[in-house]
Amino acid sequence: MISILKLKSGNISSVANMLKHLGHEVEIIHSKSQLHKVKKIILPGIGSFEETMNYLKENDLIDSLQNLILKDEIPTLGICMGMQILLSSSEEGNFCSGLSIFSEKLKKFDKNHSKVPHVGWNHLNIINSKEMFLAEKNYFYFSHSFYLEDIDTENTVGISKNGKKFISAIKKKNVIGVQFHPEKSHRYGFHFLDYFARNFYV
Amino acid sequence: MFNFRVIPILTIENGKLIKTFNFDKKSYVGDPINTVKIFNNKFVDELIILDLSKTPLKLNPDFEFIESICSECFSPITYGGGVSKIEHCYKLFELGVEKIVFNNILFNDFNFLTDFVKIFGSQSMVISINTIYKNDGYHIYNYEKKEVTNQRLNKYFKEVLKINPGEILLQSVDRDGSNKGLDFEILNEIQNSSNIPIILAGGLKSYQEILDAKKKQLDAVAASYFFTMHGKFNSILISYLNSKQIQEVRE
Repeated sequence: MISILKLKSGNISSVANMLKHLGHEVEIIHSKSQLHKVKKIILPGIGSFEETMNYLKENDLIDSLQNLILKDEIPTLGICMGMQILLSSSEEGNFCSGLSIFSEKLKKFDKNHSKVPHVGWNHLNIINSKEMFLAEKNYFYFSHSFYLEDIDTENTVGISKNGKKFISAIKKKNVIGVQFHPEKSHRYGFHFLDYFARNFYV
Repeated sequence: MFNFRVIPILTIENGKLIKTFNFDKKSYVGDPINTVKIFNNKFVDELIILDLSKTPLKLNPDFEFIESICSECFSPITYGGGVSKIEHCYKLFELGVEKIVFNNILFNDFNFLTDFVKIFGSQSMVISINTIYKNDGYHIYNYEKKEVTNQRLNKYFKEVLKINPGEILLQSVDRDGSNKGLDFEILNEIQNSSNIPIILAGGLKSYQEILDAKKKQLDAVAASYFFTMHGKFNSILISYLNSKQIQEVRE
């Protein structure tokens, strides 16, 4: 069973649809009380960093999520904003703090060098954990304006380029964060989500 | 940097997949859900779904229909038709729609569009511009009234940019439902100073033309006839690029 945490704004039906299509059982959860029996969790979400963090605060989800990820080592996947909140802070919303699972920070793409927002299909070059991906050359669907810059971190799994290079997939032990949307990336997404559902950190 | 996209357009009327000719005469193609499944199995880059039966009758989008489309498609979906309220947009995004395309609302509710961009961001908005060639140049076509307006394309295009949309779907009305070839001339008519992504549609005739379009700095081509019909009797044939072509278009 894979639990999808419904954040304030965000399209969770696409993620749920793809997992169901792949034959996995899915449940949508929204509250703290539902977190303790979770076996595998996905944090999806669109919207702003600050809004999302405020929502977690208001619903008393921050400590529980940190415990679930760091102490209980529950396999976790953050997608797009769901990945961004795993970081320590963002330039978006006055350097508001995140869940700090990863120490990296988010920056905003600079209009002079990059397309802002970065929307569309783009390459992902694999640095680590090849088994998570379908092919040598992978394409994923992206839609975001903030990015992870420190591409030399040991946690980097995949790198993409929008004017400058950025981390499009990051991993540490039981946690993966991806900037792209596997749920909108047909066969590349099928492979990635299926890998997470079946094989990741078991 | 970005991958060039090739996008089938599916036009819907009362829950049926239809094909228009010059935005007018229609022909029945088949079951839309089944067609979406076929495109999904062919790993389509994106789909544009236009429900033509909503806006002219001032009806709301058919959310149940859209939900069933979204649950069959694992590529980004752009939807248009009957979207006239912000609450419609919330609902569509929740169902899994990636972008919303607007057309007629431009003629009467500019404020709605600026509100939309504030709430959902430019990247969620596609503006469709329908243009037709008359003796003295390209004009805007109003499909709801089925009339060629006095508005000139180049001026109208500048107005549209003020809304700050994410993309423009530029459709040639005279080539719709034909395989006469894309009208690249349209691109000379507009000044794309802000480099907004443009999807050119209307008349796509061949795979070679897709490669030509890519060289012209377009972001995407879209077509309905080319991907749903075939031959001189307009036989129905749902097709998409094969995997070798997909690779070639991306490189």
